[in-house]
Amino acid sequence: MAPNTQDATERAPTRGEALEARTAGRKAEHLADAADGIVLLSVMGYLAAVFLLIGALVDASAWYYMPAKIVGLLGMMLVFGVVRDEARRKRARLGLPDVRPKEPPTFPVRMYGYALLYLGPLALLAALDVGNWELRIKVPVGVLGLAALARGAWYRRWEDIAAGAAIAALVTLALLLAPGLAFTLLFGCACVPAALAGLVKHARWRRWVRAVQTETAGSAAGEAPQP
Amino acid sequence: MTLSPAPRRNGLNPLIHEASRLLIVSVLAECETADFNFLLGTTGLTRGNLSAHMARLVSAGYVCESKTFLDRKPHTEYRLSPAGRKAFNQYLKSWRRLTGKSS
Repeated sequence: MAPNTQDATERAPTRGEALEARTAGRKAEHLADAADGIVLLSVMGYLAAVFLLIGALVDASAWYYMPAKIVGLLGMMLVFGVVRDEARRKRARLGLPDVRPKEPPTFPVRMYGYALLYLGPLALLAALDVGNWELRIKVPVGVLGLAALARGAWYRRWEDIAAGAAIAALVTLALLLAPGLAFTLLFGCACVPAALAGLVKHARWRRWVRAVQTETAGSAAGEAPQP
Repeated sequence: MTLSPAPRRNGLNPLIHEASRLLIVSVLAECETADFNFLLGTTGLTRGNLSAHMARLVSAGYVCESKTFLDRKPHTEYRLSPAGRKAFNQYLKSWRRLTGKSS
């Protein structure tokens, strides 16, 4: 069917419309981030569960302690791929909107970015010859939290700011009040605020999709011929 | 119906300097890819209007279109091409120069 071009008239934008376009761009950027909320929620929820379980159930001296952690981290990529693909398929099946965020380009790249952020402070502490392993392992997690906070402030997303602040506060409190706390337990706890941020994003996305559906249904009912 | 763009004035790209297309390109500039339904929801344009403007942007090479089937349902995705992104950035520069805004 040929597209209806009846209302596609050419018209230069007014100053107000230019501002409206800018606002729409910002809204689209926020929505693109929110569309990935389900992926963030699933991956961080998975990591929290895996690390809290390993921390609580596996003795750190057991031979399978490290392999279990490595398998847990590798499983993250599987969860990411399955959830993302399934979300896209479901949206297409139901005729719902779908979008991919511009920056950072993909979720794995984001994860590698965070890994580098973790390794940076670790290398710095090693270079400074800080012998305390407690600090070497846990301080970089706090740096990750601060990075998430800074990113949230840059993009003006309160859930990222809150999650980042919670992670940084958690690490500080753990170092001050519970210095012997196992790393796996701390890491598992640190994933919880990130999972909650994903939940907030997903709720935002669902709310917008519902609003669009209601609007579409309303306009379709308005166009329907009267009996 | 033939859509004839106005001549280039003040350095503003006539293809982007149109109310609806400016809205579409502004949305696409903030995403990696967006499907037709997402553009419908964020721009508030009608299906016909959006379809016509997308065809115009695709034929100009500013937007890449990819049609796939997901679970036997057609799925159309759009992405701003490097040429489109460059043209949009140039448009924003010209717009700021004309309106005297630095940001």
